[in-house]
Amino acid sequence: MEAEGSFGDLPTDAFEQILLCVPPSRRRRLRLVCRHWRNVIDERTPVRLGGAKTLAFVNHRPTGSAAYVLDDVVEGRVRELWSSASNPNSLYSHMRMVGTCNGLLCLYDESAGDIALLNPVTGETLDVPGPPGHHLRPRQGAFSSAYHKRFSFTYHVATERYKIVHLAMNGQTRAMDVVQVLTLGADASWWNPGPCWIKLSPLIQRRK
Amino acid sequence: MAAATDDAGDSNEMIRVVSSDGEHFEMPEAAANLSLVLRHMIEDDCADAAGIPLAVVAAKPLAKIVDYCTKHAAKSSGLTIEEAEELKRFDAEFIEVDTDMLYDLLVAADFMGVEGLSKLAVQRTADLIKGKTPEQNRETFGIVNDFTPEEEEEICKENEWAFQITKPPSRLC
Repeated sequence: MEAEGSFGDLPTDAFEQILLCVPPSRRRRLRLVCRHWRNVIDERTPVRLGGAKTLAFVNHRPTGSAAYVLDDVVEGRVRELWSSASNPNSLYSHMRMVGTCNGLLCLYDESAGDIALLNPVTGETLDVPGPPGHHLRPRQGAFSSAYHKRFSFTYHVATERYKIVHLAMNGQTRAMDVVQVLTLGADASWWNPGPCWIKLSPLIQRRK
Repeated sequence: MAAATDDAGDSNEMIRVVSSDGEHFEMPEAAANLSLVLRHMIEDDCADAAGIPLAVVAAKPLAKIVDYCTKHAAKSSGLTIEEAEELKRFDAEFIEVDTDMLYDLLVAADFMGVEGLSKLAVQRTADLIKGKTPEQNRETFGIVNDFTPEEEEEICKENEWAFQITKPPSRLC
């Protein structure tokens, strides 16, 4: 038994259990070891690309916001997923959409400057405090009505984490050259966030 | 090569097992019960004086497994904090084995259905694999690189991003 057995042809079930104990980003790199490992990794632990390709948008009307799924691009079939009109007093009536990822909506609260994540299918919500100092920004000016556009909402496949990216103004130079990233989730559960903004600036050089 | 017989739990009966290479082992029934396969055999009255044959488990790993089961069966219920810690220490020491033995334990624990030992061996293997480059993993586990240079280059390219190590975020304020 000792002579014939080797980790190069470890039984698939046992190997799958081992792979599940390795973080996803490191698991990918194990595909380079040998064919057997690559095949098991590809078959048993596929990279989750998100089954639901939600295409949603929010209309900011005087009455509130709503999100839709576009089922058929050609025929233009649209389903309303969620609407603040159904609950006019809801916290979410001042929401603008930042983005959508794997069926989750990332919304920006214009009045408070905070962010909310929403899973319209399960009704789960998660409030995320806006970036530090963000609440103090002046609300007038050309940018204020489209401030949500400075945020983006993404899913990082290698780490299986959701991230919110914020393009902010540099306090000293008044240039838009500060990038802040919030990584959501601890371990496997992204729904339980450990919010902390990291500063990556100056990432973007000011263009003349 | 019989295992400890003193602290055998509530059953005094000894169960005999035979390795693939013909060695005989003995363990208390409570210990044998930690193996799903052995438990079923005992329940079906297949455990006789000749011993239960384990066709794919060699003597070396079987000796370790008998040790593991005997230790864990003796301390299965009503553990004090000290006993739980001692068992943890036992596990940590127990699994400090070379990769050949680790492989044998993985396969044998899986075959015999010894859940705790399976988990222990799986975690140990994952810990060994985690921090290593593909080349180091091949060395550690004696694996032959069976990719053609072209294939290897292809996988390298698609994996480029995975080689960038993401730093844990530090607090801004």
